[in-house]
Amino acid sequence: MIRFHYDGTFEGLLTVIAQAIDENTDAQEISATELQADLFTEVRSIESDPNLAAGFFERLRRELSPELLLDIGYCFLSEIKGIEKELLDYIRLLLKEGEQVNGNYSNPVILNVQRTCQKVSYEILRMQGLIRFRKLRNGVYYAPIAPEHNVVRLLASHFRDRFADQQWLIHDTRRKSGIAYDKRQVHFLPFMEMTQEIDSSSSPYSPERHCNLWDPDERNYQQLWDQYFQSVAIKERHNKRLQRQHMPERYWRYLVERVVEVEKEIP
Amino acid sequence: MIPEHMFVLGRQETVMDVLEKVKILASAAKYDASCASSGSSRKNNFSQTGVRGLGNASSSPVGICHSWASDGRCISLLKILYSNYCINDCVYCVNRRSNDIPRSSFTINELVDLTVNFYRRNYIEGLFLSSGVFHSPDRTMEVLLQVVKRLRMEQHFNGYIHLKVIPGASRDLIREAGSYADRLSVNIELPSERGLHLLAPEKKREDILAPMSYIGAKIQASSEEQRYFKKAKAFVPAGQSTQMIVGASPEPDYQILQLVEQLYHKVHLKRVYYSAYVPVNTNSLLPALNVTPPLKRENRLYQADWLIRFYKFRAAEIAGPDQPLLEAELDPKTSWALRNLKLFPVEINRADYETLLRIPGVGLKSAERLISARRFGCLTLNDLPKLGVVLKRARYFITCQGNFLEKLDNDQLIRQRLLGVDQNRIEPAGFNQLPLFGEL
Repeated sequence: MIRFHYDGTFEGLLTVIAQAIDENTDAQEISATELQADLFTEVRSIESDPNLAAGFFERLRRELSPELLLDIGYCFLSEIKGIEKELLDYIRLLLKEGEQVNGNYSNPVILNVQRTCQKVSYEILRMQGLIRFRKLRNGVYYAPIAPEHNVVRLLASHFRDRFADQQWLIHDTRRKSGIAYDKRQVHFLPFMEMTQEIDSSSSPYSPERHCNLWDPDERNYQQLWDQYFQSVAIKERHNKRLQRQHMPERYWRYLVERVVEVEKEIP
Repeated sequence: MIPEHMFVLGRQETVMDVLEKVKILASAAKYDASCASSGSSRKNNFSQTGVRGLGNASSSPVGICHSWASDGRCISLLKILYSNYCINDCVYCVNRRSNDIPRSSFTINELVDLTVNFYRRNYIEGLFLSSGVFHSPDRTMEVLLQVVKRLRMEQHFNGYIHLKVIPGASRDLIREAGSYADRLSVNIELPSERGLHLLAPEKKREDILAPMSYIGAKIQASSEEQRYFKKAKAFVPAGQSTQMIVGASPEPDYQILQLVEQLYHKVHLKRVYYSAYVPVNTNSLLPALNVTPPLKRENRLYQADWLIRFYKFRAAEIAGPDQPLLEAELDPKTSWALRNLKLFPVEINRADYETLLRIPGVGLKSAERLISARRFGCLTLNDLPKLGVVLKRARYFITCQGNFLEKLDNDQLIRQRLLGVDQNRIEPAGFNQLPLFGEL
């Protein structure tokens, strides 16, 4: 059994998988974090090989449908611990048995990949709904996010089609990266720091809060939205548990509306 | 009674600020259950129009939820009334003429501005616009239409628009509304003509059913046209829906479901929404103010609705004169299965899709997965939960490679077990720890 160490890039992972399949070796683990060797397992550090990765990707493209390639990409971006080894097993299985094996949901490897893809697609859908833009003084609409999975790039086409006539910026504050749209195309920004001022202005609406970066009308619309959010709830059907189930607490931080109990103040 | 200036189009009103209006007119709209933003095909089509517009309504086949209110219901659209002034005096409605409540109306400008600015900040998927009937049905419908036209033509807004049809509005207005909106809905309000007559004396059943079938026919015709001419303009691409208030009038569930089946099959409705009646008015004809809304009943009706739309059940199989109400403690499919035990057990490795769908604990997804997975070999009991089958319910109704999980051929026994399992679930832990020590 071998534990593989790689650089955390997709290219790096493809290099590991290509080698492992080529040499027919089994992996105990594939990880981007430092691995400690012990007496019984060998740790192999693999350097990204662009040519090998590209060649292997070409092979996957020939043998697998675009949907399956996308599934593989989703799994990688899930950043779930241990998913790299799952992907090795999955791709090995697909290449050996042909892609129709993907319908065999009783196979644990396939089931796990499907579930991971579901988690990622579900978070994309959630993000499409829960992202809140703040209009800045310079006319750019800015949205901070902190998703579980690394989905920021997968949001590009949705928001490009939807907000084709406005400049916007989506900022993953957890991974310090982002995407920006300039009314022509979407750019990926690999490094984006969060300033203190933006961070403190990004929590839900509060009557006192004002931020100099904002467009003069921004606070007004935040207040209107918060009012709408409070008014549309039916008190007789109060069900905070259901609300939390649909919209877990980890997403509240960058919303504009106040999800915490404020019903008492606003009738 | 209604101030004349409310009818002047486009006139700026500063009497009441927009914040106060949002508070009143969102709160007045909240009892309408519909919120869906699904099923439209409207795109932000730069190449065809030459204009980079705002928004699209076709991004996700299931619609997008943007928030969840403290009642747990999803918020997808800006669901709001244009005005809560109303000439009608429907007994169940919070906005009825004789209620002494704060009244207000938007101006067209205010509502257009609110929609666009909410949309640009990604608060909403679009607008769900309805209104109290001020002045006359036609006058009201005209104003709603103005809002929608301004959004589509001046703002190049392609977001989702759900427009309520005011009963009694003319056909021309409805036709025009249908060419701008993604969805139209006429509320059927109450399940029977008698209920409507009692509780909404100014509304005529005919004024509700006629526009409904007109819209249904227009949708059919336009989808036919689109088959031959790709450029043909869509008429309400996301279809029509309706809403029914449950628990304000005495109709039993079987009558409701029969009506619903007709609405789906004859008028091709996309959705029927059920709204558990929340007592807002005091009237001898209504449940008292302290009666809690029949949420369980609403939930069971939605489950029955699903069975009709996706599981190919007929309404008469789910409820009929001999069992007029849906059971509160069991879902309608399990309830049906217990009444039809002779059709079970079903062999999970051989049954066709339609038969699998009828097993309690098997859903649309798990039935598909079962069919797909068993092509690779015989399925074992261990596989079933992985494929999404809920064994807690399914176990009494299936065999796996000929073996029963649990053989009980008495529906009373199965019922007791099913309800017992449910009770255990909410029982606190602690009790379960005893056997651990017992084994010593």
